Amino acid sequence: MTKNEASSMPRWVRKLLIPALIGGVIGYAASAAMLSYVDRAALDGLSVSAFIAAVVGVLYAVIGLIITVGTASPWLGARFLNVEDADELREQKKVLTLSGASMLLSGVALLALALAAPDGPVPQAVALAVGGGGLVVGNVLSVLVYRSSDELMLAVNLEAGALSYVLLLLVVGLWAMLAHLGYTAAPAPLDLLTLFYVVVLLASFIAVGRRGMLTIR
Amino acid sequence: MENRVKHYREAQGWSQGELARRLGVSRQTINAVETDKYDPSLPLALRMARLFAVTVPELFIDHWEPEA
Repeated sequence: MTKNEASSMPRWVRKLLIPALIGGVIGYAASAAMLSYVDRAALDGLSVSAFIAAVVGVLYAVIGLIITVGTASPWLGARFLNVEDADELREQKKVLTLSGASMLLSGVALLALALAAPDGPVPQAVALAVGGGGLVVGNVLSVLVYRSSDELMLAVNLEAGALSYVLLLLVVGLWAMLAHLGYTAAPAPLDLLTLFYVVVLLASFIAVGRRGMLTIR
Repeated sequence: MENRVKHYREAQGWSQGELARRLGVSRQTINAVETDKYDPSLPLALRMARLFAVTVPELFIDHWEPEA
């Protein structure tokens, strides 16, 4: 495709549709590769909790991968990430690389836990190593991201953190309340982990959106 | 808060990236300030004013009036 053809493409196609398609293709390819690698029958025993956790883990990993690839190749990344041009990716390389790696590791961690034995094909010791390691290293990287951020991103991070707390209190609190009163089953440990991931992602999108950073550029 | 950052930036002939580089922040920060989605910290507001050789109230307009 020539440069002129690329620039004549509507921005929403380049910045919204193409990233969504890339994410879908990568997610599908990763899932297909995983299914061909592991014993399909071993996955049939997964609970609904484990399945949802695996989907959320893949979502995190795909987002992390897209950011990492886009930052590693700014020329390519500028075509599907929400930035003005490749130079903006170069300027933000450190923060974006750390963010991408953090999301990727966190996603792999949740995926490993979702696929852990006895219901899944991943031995528990391996799941613990990948899950715990990914979670710890992912969070260390998040701290580095925080320290490398400028004041807008610091504000967004703090706002997302506060929102996460409120949302968690609301969702987990309500669930715990209903379970305590016998209206529903108590949340399983994996459900809680998945909820943390979903709530943090949701809160981040809200905080970022409030600052106009989801507007297609 | 209403501001005239874009006006002064364009008067200097600077892009958002150029202003961001001079201030040591990201382009997104400049964009968020110009579109009134983010009020900068006092140090950043002071640096912006200094860079444009204006006062902070000339750059950031607050319509608040003290009660009589």
